[in-house]
Amino acid sequence: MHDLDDPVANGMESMVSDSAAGDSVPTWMTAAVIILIVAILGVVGALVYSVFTQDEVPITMAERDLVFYKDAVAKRPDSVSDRIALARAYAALGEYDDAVAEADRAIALQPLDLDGHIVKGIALRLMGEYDAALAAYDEVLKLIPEHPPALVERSIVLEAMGDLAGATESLEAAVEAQPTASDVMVELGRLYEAQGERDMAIEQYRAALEFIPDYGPALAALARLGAE
Amino acid sequence: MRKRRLFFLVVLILLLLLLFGLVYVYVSLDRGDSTADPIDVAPGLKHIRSIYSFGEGADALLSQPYGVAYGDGLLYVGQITRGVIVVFDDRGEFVRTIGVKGRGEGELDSPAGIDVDVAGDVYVADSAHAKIVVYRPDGSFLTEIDVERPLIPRLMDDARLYVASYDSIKVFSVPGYEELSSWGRRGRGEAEYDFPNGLIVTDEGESVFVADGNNMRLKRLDKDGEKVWIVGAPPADMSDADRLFGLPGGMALAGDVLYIVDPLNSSIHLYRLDGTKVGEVGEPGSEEGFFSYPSQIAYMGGTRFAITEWGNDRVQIVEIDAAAVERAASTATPEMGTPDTTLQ
Repeated sequence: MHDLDDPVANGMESMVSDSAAGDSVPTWMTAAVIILIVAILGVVGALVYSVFTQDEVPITMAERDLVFYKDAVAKRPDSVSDRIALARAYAALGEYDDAVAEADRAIALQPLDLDGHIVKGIALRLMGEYDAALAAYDEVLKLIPEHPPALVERSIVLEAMGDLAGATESLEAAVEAQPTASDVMVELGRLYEAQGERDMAIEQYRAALEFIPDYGPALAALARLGAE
Repeated sequence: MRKRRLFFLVVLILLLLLLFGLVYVYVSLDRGDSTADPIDVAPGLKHIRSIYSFGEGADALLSQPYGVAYGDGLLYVGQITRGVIVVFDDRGEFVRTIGVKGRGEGELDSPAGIDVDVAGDVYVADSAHAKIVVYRPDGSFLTEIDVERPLIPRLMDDARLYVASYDSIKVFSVPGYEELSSWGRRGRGEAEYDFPNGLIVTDEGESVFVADGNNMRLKRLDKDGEKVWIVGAPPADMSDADRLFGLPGGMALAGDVLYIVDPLNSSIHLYRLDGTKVGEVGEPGSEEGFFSYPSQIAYMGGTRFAITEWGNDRVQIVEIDAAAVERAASTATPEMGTPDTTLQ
């Protein structure tokens, strides 16, 4: 109990009362918080529902091929071409381990089917397993030393390993084996350029135009070198 | 003094941010929209998305899709080999199938062209079974119309049904489906037809455009089926360098431009309604934005089209900007294509 006439005590009571009124939360704010919590719970629910109910429907060609060739392999387990196509689909989707495993199954069925080794090599290269990729291409080159796709792929691996001379040598062999491949010639020209061999590069770009006169990459390279 | 109010305000803002974050995650996780980023493929051509399947598993993959129609936010895709129409929504999500493979009433043996009327009834040309099959919007069977080897049905204001059959263009009343007229017969003459794969009817039937398939020409007819103009001519053979089309296929109209798919060129030809060529866009390939045996095309609004691809077993949703195609074409060599407006 305090004295009603005590101005200090009365003043403090008044302050406490004012403080309580000023600190009260408006109704709209409480309602907004409740609505937001409900909305958040709704979105979380929709997310959970979406994750657990969404069909794995293919939305790219590679996903479509994966579904198609998985089914084909299940129906025809001895089909080498289906297994190689499945390996390609895995590789296109970045599932390199599965690509290599499927290519190995194809190779086991038909060791002389070169596509299996090529796909395996590509998957291994994309995994960064360069030595293993080279070994896969060597399997092909043992059978056909002038196999253009194997030589081109081998060149890509060697360039990735920093062996420009080896990559160039491999592409030179590829061009010799397939003298109408304008795209390979342009790649060879690019490697010559990278090694400072401007004249040899121009020669390759011009050779590429002999077969496809309006081949854009060759024209662009010649323009870049001022040798149109 | 106002600490509680401030605390609530901070909580409110944090909850709002959390809500925005969750909505963003939800939208990002949506596979339909995650593929919706357009890919600029060529001047005037953008790839929006592809539809490969209507469910899980190999049995739900699209297989040699042919007919396509769009109406009221739904995309109808026919599969000849499966004898079924698959319905998708605007985002490519599966809605339902219509029809079953078979030769009985209401069944589809070889569904070719599709059209949808204002009420949502679906008209399907069953080319192998000499009939147009009509389904209600919910997919239930409504009726059948006898037409010999029909290819493309086109409804005109729900008052007429035009049908491109292998040898002629036929006009039916709606409802009742009585044959009112039949234009042409099979052949190479100007008034003849050889597997017309594209048909458009405009201006309440005043103008009819026909992509005359094997005759490799585009025709504009008047309301009586008489020639207004013809672009292209039957080639001497497939190596004929003068032919304008590889093979004119399905056709769509958007504004004053006709879009004609070309299965053999793997492209889309653009022509104005007076027969002048706007340009051509599209190249062969299996990558998104490229085409392999495009068969039919449906206009979806704006600059958006759905194109069925027989070769890639998919439906591609693309945007075609006619003005950009025309600008690109203006830098290329002028092509033949002056319409022959000589009256028969």
